Amino acid sequence: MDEEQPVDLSALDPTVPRGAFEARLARVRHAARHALRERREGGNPLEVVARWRAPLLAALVLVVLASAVLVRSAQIEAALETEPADEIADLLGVPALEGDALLSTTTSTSDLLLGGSPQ
Amino acid sequence: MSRPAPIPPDADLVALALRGDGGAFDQLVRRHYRAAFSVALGVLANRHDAEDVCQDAFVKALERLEDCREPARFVQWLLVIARNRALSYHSYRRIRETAELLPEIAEAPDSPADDLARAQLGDRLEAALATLSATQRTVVLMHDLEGWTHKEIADVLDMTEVRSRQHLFVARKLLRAVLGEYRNG
Repeated sequence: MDEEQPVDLSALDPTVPRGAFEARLARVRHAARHALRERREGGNPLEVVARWRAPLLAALVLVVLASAVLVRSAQIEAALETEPADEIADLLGVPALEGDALLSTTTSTSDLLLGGSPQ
Repeated sequence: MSRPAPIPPDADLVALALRGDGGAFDQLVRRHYRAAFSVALGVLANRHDAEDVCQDAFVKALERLEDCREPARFVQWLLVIARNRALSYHSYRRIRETAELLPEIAEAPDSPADDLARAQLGDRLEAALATLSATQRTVVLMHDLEGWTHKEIADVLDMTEVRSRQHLFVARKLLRAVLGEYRNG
């Protein structure tokens, strides 16, 4: 059957003649030069940011977590430092300031005035 | 005797083009220009417009190369881009205007007499193709000009192989009728 045979469409072939095809390729090359250069140079700043977005976010989360841990441990340390004086003051039934004085290794002004010996 | 250089697969060329290798991109364009042109001509029924769209499709493909999930199937991905660009061609008419400003890459005629005969035949074929539907045109161009199988055509055009065969049958019949009129008239 005639319809089983291909139609000769070679006159529409864009790769022939060779000179015309080379000119078409040169146009494509010319139009693509910016995209190729950007790829060679690693992309524009927005693309670079987009590429590093995930690692940057991960690093940010780590910094926030590490900061939270440091702040919390500093708070605990501060609380531990104040606890003994408060406990002694509680046990003796005196104000917290006097508990501090009891733990202090230096002689207080009132001791000196009352003629107490240095501890 | 020197062996011919092995033909690199598309996946390798895509990997190189991703890093900005102009030679690799050039090979991809050479290899798939006719296929992209066939799809664009199928949609637009105009050679000059099809060339514009073809150029645009290659540049867009390069810009979005990261989106090509299966580099071994680069051509299928490219043809989808070419088809979509052809369907929304009217906003891209400016491309030809830019290209015409480039005298250093103007076409070099091979043989004026051959070129004229070829251009006249091309005009007749183009007019005959314009009488077909876009799908019939695309199928006959991809099959008879580009040499694709029905399986490949069906894959790109999202249809069954049987449907592709039917379109080809009707397209050839209509084309021969119109071209016969030219010959007889």
